Amino acid sequence: MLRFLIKRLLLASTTLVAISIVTFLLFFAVPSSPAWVMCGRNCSPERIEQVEHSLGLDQPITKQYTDFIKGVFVGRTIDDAGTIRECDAPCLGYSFRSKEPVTDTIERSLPITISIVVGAMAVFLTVGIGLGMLAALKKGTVFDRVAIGASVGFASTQTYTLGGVLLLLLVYSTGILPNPHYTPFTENPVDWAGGMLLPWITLGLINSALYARLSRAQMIETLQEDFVRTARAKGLSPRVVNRRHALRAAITPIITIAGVDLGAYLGGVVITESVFSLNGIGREAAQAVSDLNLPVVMATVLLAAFFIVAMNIIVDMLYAVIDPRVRLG
Amino acid sequence: MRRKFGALPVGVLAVALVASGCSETTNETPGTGNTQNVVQTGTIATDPAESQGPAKAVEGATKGGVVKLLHAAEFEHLDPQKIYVSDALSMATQFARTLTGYKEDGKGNLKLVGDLATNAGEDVNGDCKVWKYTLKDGLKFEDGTPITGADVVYGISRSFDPDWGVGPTYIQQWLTGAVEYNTTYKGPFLSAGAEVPGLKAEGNVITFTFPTAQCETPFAVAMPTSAPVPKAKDTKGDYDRKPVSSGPYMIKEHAYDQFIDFVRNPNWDPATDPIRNAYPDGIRVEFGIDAETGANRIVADAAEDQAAFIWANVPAAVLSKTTSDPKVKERVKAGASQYVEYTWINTARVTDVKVRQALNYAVDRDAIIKIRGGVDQFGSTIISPTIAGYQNFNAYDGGQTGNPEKAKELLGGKTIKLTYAFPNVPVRQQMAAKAKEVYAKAGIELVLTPLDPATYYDSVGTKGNQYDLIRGGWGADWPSASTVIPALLDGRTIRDKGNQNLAYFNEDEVNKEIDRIKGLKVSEAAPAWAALDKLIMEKYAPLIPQYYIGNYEITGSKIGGTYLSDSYGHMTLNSMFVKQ
Repeated sequence: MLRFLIKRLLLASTTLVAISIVTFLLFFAVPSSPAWVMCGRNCSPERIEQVEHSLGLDQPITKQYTDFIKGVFVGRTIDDAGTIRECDAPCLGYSFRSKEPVTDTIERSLPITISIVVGAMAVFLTVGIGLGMLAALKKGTVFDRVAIGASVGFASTQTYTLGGVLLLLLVYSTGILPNPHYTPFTENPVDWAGGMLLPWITLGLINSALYARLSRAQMIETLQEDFVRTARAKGLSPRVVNRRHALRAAITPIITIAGVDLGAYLGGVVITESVFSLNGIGREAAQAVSDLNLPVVMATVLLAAFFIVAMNIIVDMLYAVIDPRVRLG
Repeated sequence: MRRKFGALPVGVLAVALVASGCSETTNETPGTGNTQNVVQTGTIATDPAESQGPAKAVEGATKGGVVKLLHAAEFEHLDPQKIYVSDALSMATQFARTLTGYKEDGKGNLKLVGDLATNAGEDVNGDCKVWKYTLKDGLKFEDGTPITGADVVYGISRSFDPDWGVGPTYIQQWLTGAVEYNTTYKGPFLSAGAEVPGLKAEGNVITFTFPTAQCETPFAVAMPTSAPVPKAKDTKGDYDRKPVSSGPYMIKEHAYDQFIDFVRNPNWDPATDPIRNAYPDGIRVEFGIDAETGANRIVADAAEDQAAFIWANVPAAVLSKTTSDPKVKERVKAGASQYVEYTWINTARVTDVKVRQALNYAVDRDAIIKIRGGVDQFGSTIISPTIAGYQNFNAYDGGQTGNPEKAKELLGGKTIKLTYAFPNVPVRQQMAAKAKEVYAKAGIELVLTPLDPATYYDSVGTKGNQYDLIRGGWGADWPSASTVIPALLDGRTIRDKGNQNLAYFNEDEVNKEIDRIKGLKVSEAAPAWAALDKLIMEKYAPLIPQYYIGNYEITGSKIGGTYLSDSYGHMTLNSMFVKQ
């Protein structure tokens, strides 16, 4: 187990370093400069040079990259237009736009994304897996057809259509739900949930469909396996067979997908955040890309990569817990 | 130039409004809500009594409540010396007082009065070269320290910093008499201890000494460049997040990209302020809410949004809701802005003035305005109707829809092929396609050249570019054509990159006239600029004015007292109140 973990962690760090290098190179391959974006149109070549200098963009790429990496581990000093700033480790640089440590930007926007994702996942895992399992057990019945038919319907909608329709119906026209907004959980849990309800419902509906179909198929397959037949033959009650034997085996691949999904969503749910006017990490990332705000681009890309890599490791470890057939080595 | 907040993604609106851009005309076209008059009375107050506070009470206004601005994106800057975009300029009126300011009545009357200063400015020798401003008594920053002349000078000195340079550059260029104003004096950080050239403070008296006549100084010091900054509290780069207030509101909390909470500044004395009523107890700005969501919320008028408003045009998808229901319609504020849309003709490439004139005859403004939905107004002049001295004329009158026959006649049977550059965004694509169709009727073939919107101005602003026609627009910094014509059409300002003169137009006759008018008193200059506008259009036709860009903003049902400001374009906070 420990050997496995060390191996995976090493691989993960290599992946993150590779991603950081590629992001850095891609950024400098763009035929424009953040200085142009910041300087606007009323800008002389001299001004551009000044801005580039103050952002440190006139340094060689290798120097900029090593400075960045150094900042992550030991912190660094940043000269921002004459203002000397101490940036403690883990320093992801200073945002060109907001003039603050990128870690502050993340600190502010990540909780919003986490709030959206955690709630939405709770909705779609419960609803999706529940519906899928039930449909599998009642295969061929009206319930199965309706549940799976509806899931196809929702799966084929998109956040920007379903979200827009729900906003119109539940907020603008009837006022049943409040405007989506973010209140920190620690400040007021009820308001936190209220403001997140619509994103949860929207993301939940769309994604539970996928999970319902997936878990139905997995469950049906598992129910035909030999060990299930054996369990039934031993005279175990259908309830025990379904829960302890079939469900446990069927859920393994679902966990894999849920884990990777969680990792991907935590990196930012740009469309959901935009539809519901919530400035989470996804919108920060999108904004940073259009502003060519390198430190924020780097940080959000790395963060997204980190979540995916980390979730992969966690999922692999969970396998061993859930499915005794899997042994890590 | 002042950029308009959200100018690029202006949506397509669904109601047609065609109005002539005449001055002093009421454009009460059905379906546009409360369309404001356009009266160009941008005058400078001469009676010091007009600069005295408190501001005239608004009928029916009540104190209290919190107004809420639903805004798409974080303000680019809040540091007064860096602010230059219309949304932040409008916001800054509430926390950064300036030497002078605009007193408006919502009926189109706009007067420049002393804000921090006792009057709009004293032209000491009557030659516009030396200007004196005396601060009022009782002015204080949010922490209670008195505002002195030194604080104003310190504020202006910051605008010289070479690392900044994102705000207006008028004062700096005038003081040094140079376009590149910070070659010697580089602001209080890099040139610590040195004095700002031409600028002096003695107690409460501030004196500007310019090498050449600058008769529009009272307007220039209304921009936040002249906002006082306390040196002891200058956090340099971080000042942009939380500037020290000299106005009725101060920042209590600023969560970047999320929200700003402004609360009352206890040290603001209404008796010193002729402009601001400061009725609400607070102003909350929420970011990340695009115009469509904001407009939808305000139309829906849920309890939490009844005191909300937006500083963006109501977009297409929501527009019909603002015209069908009279209760919603009365919450709309619509009218002309300072912005004019142009199609530039690159005179370095299209050298034949007859071709340029033909392009002006054939333009179908009616069709283009319809594409944008109709909140804009027919316009054929370089300067907008909100500018002092504005004269309406159409040098190439082809009627509402243009005259392709007349254009053909001018071309004398030739067929012409021209490239047309525009930012590659949906509404511009539609407009370009329409232009192609319209010009085809006159025998002019347009080769459409969509460009990356992010780098659009880099491309078209580069001298020697390969575009014949170029999409552009402009907004005056104050209601005088001095911030339009010299910025756009003075050929001596053409440089290798970053040009604003996208016609690359350079005529001695025009350059000389610009110099002459700049030396005139404001009242004489206004008609002279309008005459120059006409001369440029008639004789040289270096551009095709398309339309006067309109504003169309909306408030929740509990907001009263506001109107579209003729100074910065958005609905004013000065007299806004929450209905109790």
